[in-house]
Amino acid sequence: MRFKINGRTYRTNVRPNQTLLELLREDLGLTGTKHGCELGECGACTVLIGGKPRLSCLTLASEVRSFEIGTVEGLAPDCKLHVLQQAFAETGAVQCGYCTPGMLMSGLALLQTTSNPSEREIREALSGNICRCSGYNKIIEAVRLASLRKESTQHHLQIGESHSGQRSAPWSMDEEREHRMPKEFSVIGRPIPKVGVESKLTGQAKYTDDLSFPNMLYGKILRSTHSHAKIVSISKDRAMSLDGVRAIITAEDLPIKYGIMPTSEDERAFALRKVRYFGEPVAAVAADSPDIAQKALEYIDVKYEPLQSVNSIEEALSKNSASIHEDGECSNNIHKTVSLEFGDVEQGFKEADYTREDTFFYEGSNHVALEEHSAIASYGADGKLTEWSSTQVPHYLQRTLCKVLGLQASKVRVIVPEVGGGFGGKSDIFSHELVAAKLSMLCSQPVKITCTREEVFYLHRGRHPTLMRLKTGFKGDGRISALHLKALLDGGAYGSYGVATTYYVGALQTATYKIPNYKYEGLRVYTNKPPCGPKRGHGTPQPRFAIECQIDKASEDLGIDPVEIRRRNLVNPFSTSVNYLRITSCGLQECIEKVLSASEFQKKRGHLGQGNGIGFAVSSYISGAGLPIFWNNMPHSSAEVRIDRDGKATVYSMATDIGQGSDSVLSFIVAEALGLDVSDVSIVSADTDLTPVDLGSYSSRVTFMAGNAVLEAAKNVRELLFEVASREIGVPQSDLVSREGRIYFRDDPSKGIDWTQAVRKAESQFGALVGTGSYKPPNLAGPYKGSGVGPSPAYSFSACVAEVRCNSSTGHVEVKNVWLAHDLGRSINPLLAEGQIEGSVVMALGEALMEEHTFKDGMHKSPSMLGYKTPTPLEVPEIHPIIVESIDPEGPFGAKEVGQGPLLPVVPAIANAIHDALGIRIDQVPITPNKILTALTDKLKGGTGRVGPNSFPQVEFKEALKVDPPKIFS
Amino acid sequence: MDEGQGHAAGPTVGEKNIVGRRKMRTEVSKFALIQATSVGDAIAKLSSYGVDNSAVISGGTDVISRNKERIATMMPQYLIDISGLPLNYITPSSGGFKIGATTPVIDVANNTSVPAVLSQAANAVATPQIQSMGTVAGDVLQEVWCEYVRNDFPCWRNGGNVCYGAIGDNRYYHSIFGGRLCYANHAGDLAPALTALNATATIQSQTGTSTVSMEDLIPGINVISGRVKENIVAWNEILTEFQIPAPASGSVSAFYKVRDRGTWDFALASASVVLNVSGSTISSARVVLGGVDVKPHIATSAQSYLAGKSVPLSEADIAGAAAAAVDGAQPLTTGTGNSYRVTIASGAVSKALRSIYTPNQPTVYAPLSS
Repeated sequence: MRFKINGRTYRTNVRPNQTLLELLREDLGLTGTKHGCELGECGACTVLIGGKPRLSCLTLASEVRSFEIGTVEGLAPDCKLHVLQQAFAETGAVQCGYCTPGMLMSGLALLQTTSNPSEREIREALSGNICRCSGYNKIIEAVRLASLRKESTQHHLQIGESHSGQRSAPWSMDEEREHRMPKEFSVIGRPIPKVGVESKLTGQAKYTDDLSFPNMLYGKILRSTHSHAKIVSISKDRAMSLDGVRAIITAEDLPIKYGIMPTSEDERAFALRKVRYFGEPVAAVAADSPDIAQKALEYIDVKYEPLQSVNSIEEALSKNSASIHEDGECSNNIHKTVSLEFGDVEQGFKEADYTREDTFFYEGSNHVALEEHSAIASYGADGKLTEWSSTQVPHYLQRTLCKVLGLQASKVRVIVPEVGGGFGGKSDIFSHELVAAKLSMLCSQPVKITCTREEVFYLHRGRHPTLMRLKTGFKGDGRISALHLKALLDGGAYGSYGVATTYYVGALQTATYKIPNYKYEGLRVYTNKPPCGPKRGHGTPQPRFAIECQIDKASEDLGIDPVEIRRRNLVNPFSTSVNYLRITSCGLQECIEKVLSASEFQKKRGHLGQGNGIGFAVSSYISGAGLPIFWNNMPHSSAEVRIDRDGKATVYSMATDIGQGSDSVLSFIVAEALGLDVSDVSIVSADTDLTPVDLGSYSSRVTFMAGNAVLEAAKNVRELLFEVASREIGVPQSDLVSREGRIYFRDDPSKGIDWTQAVRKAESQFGALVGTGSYKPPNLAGPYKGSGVGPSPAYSFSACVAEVRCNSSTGHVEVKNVWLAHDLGRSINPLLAEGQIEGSVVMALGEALMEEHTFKDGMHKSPSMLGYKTPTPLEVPEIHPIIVESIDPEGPFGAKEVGQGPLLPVVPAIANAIHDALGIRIDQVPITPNKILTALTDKLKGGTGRVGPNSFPQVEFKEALKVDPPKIFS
Repeated sequence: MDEGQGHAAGPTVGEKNIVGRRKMRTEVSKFALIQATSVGDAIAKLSSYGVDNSAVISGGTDVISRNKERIATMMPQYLIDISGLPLNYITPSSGGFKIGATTPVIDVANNTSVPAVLSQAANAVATPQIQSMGTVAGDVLQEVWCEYVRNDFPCWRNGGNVCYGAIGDNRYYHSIFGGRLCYANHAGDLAPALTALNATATIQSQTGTSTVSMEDLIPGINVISGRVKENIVAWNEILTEFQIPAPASGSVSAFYKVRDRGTWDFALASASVVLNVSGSTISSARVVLGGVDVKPHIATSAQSYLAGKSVPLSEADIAGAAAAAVDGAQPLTTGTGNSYRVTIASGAVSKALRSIYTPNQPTVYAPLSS
């Protein structure tokens, strides 16, 4: 058959059941078009057919021959960015880049038919494309910018045609922005487009599933169709006899247990003897083609003996329920308990003038990173395993591969290609990563396993559903005298990060508010559902929701303004909390002032009219976990910076860019330190053979920790150049600066030496120019068991105001505006920082209003992106990101985190705004129309207008470990 | 949510251990794609392959996703492709319109001549991509979106003898107007609009051609060729065309859809309203609800309520019509219950009525509008 794609003619054979997506990616090598759901629900596979945006995953290739097809590869055929691509780069519309090709296609289709589209038209045109990183608004802005430029330049919009795209370097910046740039820096604080944006915009960026190798096999995993059952037998003979099947493995082939937390290694690559959740891996096949692998799965005969399914926290705690893990102390379905008391809570409640107790439930949610998990393993005759995987944690993956496969670290290399979003969902070790490796070792061929969207819902590791009982005592003036939080976490079938999560639910309350007496009791149960783990904010959005809603209620009862009551409780900069958290830089006050004045909160609250409301909340988050996951004394992050003879620098770091922009942040830090243009710095990241260890992209640690490591490495190599320069120009090293390609005397820039000249002289003197750097946080753990979770070298702070409009006849909540001020220490790059804030806001919006897993007897009822609803461009409010800089004394150039913290206050701010709008309280997310209408009905009937959990199970927590507050507690 | 078992504890619903049969989603399964040369040819081919082995494909958005979902009863081995047949048209006809079965939904959405209720309904279908792929007949005849059906639970539609929705999670996808056997909502947005317009549909079968009203096309749950379904089109019949009669002079219409998000989702409730106005008095009205019943739900009480009212409608009359529209509602009280959608259906009617006299109102739940 013949196809005309991007103006070129292709001739190829087509199978009747082959989709256009498969044809493009597998047969024609046009991997720029992505897949995120396989069911037409995400828009990543959008291509133009006859000029119209269509879903290539639902289009049969044999049906499209008469049309012209356009893909992302046709947008910049001569390597000059199309006007639309250029606009995406400049506005910061690209983060992980995985939705980008589809977005570009939908945007192009609009621009081809509509001149000067309105914002509404742009949003509608892009409404079939899901993005999880950006929060959409920068994408909308990009399309609008392109439409304006299109009008002014008569730009060609036909796909596959060359055009006069101008790659302007340096990147253009509007004057107003230029004016606000800090003068002390050349790179830091400037809105420079992210590193590698061109490859993501042209479809050239290679994500794991885009890679293929000669002689590669395709692996597929057979997953349990029971949520709790004994495995009676697995018969693979019939499947093995199929032509093209090369290996089939089960638990016997990978018997070694593992787990991301050394204290709860309770998983195997395959279920052994029994399955504990619907979708748990049972066996796997490697075959010559995906079709054969699929057929082989259907030929594997697994006999199950069903067991009682444990589906909820209450069921897990019931004495009558089946036991999910028989072994060890977990026989009662309790995975982890934490009981800690700081100060004297009983006394604190006695001293309280007013105490209230509320129960909250926070639903679980999935990350829905648009790129589905994928791994390719290749085992060589030299006994070395190379694995490409879409992971946030190459170092931990390497360790686990070694452990489970019995290999030396020197024989395992993990390479992370581009990653299409993570949000915590790729920070655990997954069965398919181990299985691909084992299959490759057995077959001596490369093996690729790419998960479907459905499988991603089964391997999960998302937010823990959490039931919370919160009791807080207040003095008459609103100051908190005691706080007691009880939390029950639904952990799913395995441990994952759950031990850490259970601690995190209790750890950070004291980093936002001064709480003199604090007690936390947490308990994580096993249930027959996909394991929960870390998702953006890891364990902290749940209690933040509870506390920020409760303090709003308390402010009403006490007759204190909701902002004022919070102000009276805020932590002080450079203080120590009752549970020994060391707070350093803190811009929370400034965050609050800025969101209040930008939103006119005080003027609007209570005065927006029926159905309209405004809400407020604050929060804090860590900039990296203070302790590594497995105990050791080594740096959390190491890095190298090498300088070539031509003066260019290369950064080596294992930090993993999952779309958040860590490659950019690290490169920009080095460029600033060396005084180079960003185009003169390149980065090699996330390759365990080439890069020094960084623990991974989790816990918001990369900017702070890897940033400090690369900064130290850059300074160390710069010292060699300064030594040379000092001698050449006769100025002490300490008085030298390196900027804009020169090293010169701080007080007299005319005294200086050209950078490349200094490099040549330095290399002549010292040999290869390499600097190394490391970062290890100071020892911050408190003097008690369990103090390892919570400490961080720095905390970020956020304040949020949300404005909503509620429809009392349909129960719909429309979030109209979100103002979010975030103290990130120092903005390394405002485009990226704003992108993190906006993405956090929209992810929070999903959790607040719509995201929900539904199960039937442990079986996920909506493992798809249609059933599991995430925000689209049409629900996104106007977002007003406000960057607050507190210049942290220990962060690189003063920087702290911005990747996760901004999510935290958004959910309670929306809930509080709904209360302001309708006078109802929904103490349970997601706040769906169903709950709103139920609460309104209740209120009409004279009830309280509250919807939320009404009871908290009787749980015997273990006796709390009593910890005296630190002496310097202030 | 754990069905009936979450923290807001309730009884366990449904049978245990119905899991275990479902297949994981994957590539499109093997099938033969056969081009039909004419409608008659398609019917002959379908008839020869049989009910379990063959189905029609045109836009493919429903057929291919059902195939990938691996629903056991919905994976025919022969797909008869009618997308090449001359059934793609919107033609004026004696004051009204004829719309061919394979006309893309987006062509209806962008058509400024057809009655507003129809183009607005088309504009509310799924996403831009699905609108440009999916067809008019496909939207009307699509499989229900009940999660139990789509997850291959052994319910009535999947060869079993229970409706899991009626006793389980029925918050989104099940009738608030009662039912029998299967309680899953009819899902499409176009059928209620076509019903409000008194459209007819032509069905071609082995024995000939018949033209039926929308009410007769989708009468509710019945058994056709051994299948439990809501429409009467058998597997070896082809719906070829919709006819929209000429509107009465002075007729105005509107569509309003309430859904969870601004795009993609099926209606929690939709309202299709046609008012025939003479002078300043409504002579007759059509009010049809979508997404709340196993068929497009004709709100007869609201229709009689509106007759004789003067326009522009007062807020009191709008409220009265909205209340009358849900007369006879029987929301499910088993399982999760779905009574909240009675309120939403009523709200959709008032929104639709109001939008007729306040132009430029959004026709779907639209977060951006203010």
